[in-house]
Amino acid sequence: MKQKTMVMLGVLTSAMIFATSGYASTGLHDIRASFANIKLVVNNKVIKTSAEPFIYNQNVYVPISAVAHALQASAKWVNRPASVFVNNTVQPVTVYDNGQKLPSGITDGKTFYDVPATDAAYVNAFGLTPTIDSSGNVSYEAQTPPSFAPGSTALMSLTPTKLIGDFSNSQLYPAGQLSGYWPATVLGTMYPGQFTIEWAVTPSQNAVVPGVDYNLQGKYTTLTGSFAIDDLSKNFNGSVQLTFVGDGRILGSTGYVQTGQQPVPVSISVTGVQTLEVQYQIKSAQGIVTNMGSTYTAPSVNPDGSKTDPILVTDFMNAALQ
Amino acid sequence: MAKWLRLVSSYAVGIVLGGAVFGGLTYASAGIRTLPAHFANIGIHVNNNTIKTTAEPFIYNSNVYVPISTIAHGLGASVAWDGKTHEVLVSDKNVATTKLGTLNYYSLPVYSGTHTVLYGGQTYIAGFALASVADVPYYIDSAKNTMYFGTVPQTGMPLRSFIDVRDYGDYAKSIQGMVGPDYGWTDGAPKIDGILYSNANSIVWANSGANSQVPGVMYNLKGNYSLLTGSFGLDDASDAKEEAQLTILGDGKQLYQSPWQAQGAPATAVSVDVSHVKLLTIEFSVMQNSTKTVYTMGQALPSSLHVDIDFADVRVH
Repeated sequence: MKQKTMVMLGVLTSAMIFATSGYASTGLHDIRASFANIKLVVNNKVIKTSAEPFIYNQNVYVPISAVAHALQASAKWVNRPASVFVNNTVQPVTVYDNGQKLPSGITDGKTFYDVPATDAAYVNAFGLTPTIDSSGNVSYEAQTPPSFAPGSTALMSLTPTKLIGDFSNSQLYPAGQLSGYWPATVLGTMYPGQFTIEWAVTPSQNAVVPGVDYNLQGKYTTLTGSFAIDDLSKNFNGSVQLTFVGDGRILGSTGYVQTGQQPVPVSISVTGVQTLEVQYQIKSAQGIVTNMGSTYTAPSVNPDGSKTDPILVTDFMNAALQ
Repeated sequence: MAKWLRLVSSYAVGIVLGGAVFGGLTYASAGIRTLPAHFANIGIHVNNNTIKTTAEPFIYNSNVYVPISTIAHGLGASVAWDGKTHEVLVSDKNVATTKLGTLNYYSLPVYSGTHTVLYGGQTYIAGFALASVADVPYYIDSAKNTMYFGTVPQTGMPLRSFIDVRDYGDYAKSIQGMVGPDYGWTDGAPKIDGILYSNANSIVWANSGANSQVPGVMYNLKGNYSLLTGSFGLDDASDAKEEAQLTILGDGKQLYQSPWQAQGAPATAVSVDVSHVKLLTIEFSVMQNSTKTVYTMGQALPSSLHVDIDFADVRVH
């Protein structure tokens, strides 16, 4: 801020010093008001007021509504006795996490109830570290992210050797990238999306049930991960399963997984396997199975009434090779 | 892959940005003018303190005029006058600056429209956003000016604070674009045998038309609670042609079943041990008096019946 000559307003603190008896008599009086294109600047921002401020008796006067607006306060007029009531609209809020008191939050009583989530007490209580960028975006990470056993290779770090069905559709999966579009959320719990293969079906659209091949070169013994229907497809009434095929031989499967089910753990022996294929199968509410490579036509409207939100989202999470 | 957006809570939207609400009027020219001002011994109260000042408010041109310095000081701001530029310079750390942005988890978007508030030198994040990412229920008691995560000591956490993980029957159908259980009636609180219950914290259901299916809902308690309480009955607005029953399951096993409740009968007090229960399912059933036919969760109910079910003030402890 530029250096400016600042003269404190005369009456600032005299409020407390002078007694109250100095009020003028009531009624209509002509007053001498000095206008000088006075601007009201709050935190370096010029506040526009509907009526012009002026100086009377060495004080700058503004309409009460303008002051309240500029300072985010509420203003109330009471007729008897004639009074104005001004209050800060932002107030502290008491916060408890499982009965433990945390540093206070703030509210303006209507549009926000917010907490200082970057405070160490919050980071410890929730195990989540938020970072906030200058645009107001918030990114959370867990202190101990879900991860694989030490020494594992993320399946997502391998380049697929073959993409089948929807996975080969470059409009759905640019550059054959199958992960990292969304954090997986299953029964309310979020999982980082970087290591999650996501397959989604949109209402009314023809989906080609997908699959993907990886060249393991016989280097691994076990494939681990978990498979679930994402909360985005909360009320999808069908089910989906993954079948794992090694060099043309079925190694195992997740079984059909429904919505509202905890993630099904995957632990498949891949000892000596050169080509691993992950095949999807979908079973409709009526029990009709559609296999990898075949076309599945989704219901026209999903349960939340939307025709554009996905009707089904599947998550193959934390896929890793040991 | 589609860039779909998750549902955004009402706390995450509707931010009113304090900005240029007031229009810019052209000001009068500078100089001294005589104005008719109405004085009425107007008192000033700021943040519940009575401010004693010789700078008296008055009414002019239908506006109440106040000395800005007095008010600003009362609100905790500092004020200075720049005589050269004719500016009143207010520095107020208690002005909240709100920004809208995207909520991310490991850099992947969860939903857009979350907000941050800079206030008093500290940045605050929506309580709802933290609860979403942490997957804990979240409840605001505005009367007590308190936010609760996880549980509410003594009174328990209202079940409505949890996100439904699966819906059944009418609850799985779109009502105004949203699925999920109905909490509270739009035209009054639950009333069972003449007794009124908390509207906001009650799961309710009324059938409508020929396609209504008896509903149910599943929540993920993650094994964090020991007791579920509430009051179950038929609302006095039901038509007395049926009885209703409540069944509660924990991880697929039946934990509780209420007696059949008739219209006008007192509510049944529900108190169920939910220790170690992860997935909690609440199911309703309806029995038609004339035929004794029972309609369980998911089954279509005849439109000749009018059922208003109340599972009132449902909480977990």
